[in-house]
Amino acid sequence: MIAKTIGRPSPPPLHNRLPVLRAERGLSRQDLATAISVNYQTIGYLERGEYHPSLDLALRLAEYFNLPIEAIFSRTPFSPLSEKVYGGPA
Amino acid sequence: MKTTLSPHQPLASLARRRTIVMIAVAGYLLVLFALLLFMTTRVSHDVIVTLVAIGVLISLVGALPLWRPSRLGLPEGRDATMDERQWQRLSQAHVSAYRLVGGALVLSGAYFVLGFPLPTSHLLPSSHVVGNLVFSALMLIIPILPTAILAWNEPEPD
Repeated sequence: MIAKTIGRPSPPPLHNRLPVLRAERGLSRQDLATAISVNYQTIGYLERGEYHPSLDLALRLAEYFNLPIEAIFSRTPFSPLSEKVYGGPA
Repeated sequence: MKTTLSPHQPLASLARRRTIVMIAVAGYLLVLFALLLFMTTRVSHDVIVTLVAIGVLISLVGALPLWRPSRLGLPEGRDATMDERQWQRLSQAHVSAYRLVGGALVLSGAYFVLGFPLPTSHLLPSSHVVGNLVFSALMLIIPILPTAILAWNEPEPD
């Protein structure tokens, strides 16, 4: 689903952790794109929330990162990792 | 639906893509302007033919990259090289192009049906040649319309 459509209400935002997951593994967008067989531009659109992936693509990403889908995509903003690990800012 | 994507050209900048689309449209508008001159004034046929030829040339040469979208980093419609987002974007561009062409055909149909019976109108085509030219000019733009819409709308690359 394309997030930016003309003449239709935009779907609710879909937040994702793709940039963090990619950075953790030291992957470029091209690397990730090749791994899940999409165009590298699509990774950019996914990360910016400008493109909502199909279930198939979301599953491929989840499989690649070995995480459940809800750990990668969420309707609500993700809390910062530091907050999760250390219980919030000091 | 896991496919192997072939190597691709980086997406051209939005400014470059829009410039190319504007060149194509400018050539097309020049053709239409020449036809308007032909219908409403007594400019010599040599001038009209020259203007039409220049317009066609601008549309063809200026918009050459639109005939090979992959040169601009845009999808070409071959399934082995496209992912799901590209398919969706291309489909949307085709829908928009279909609507535009459909609208243009309805308007031109109304023009010919309603306009021909009026003998005094100066904006009526004086011969079949003009009608043929209008449709020839349309033929130039129809094949590249979906690509032009996609080139115009696709956001700036990173």
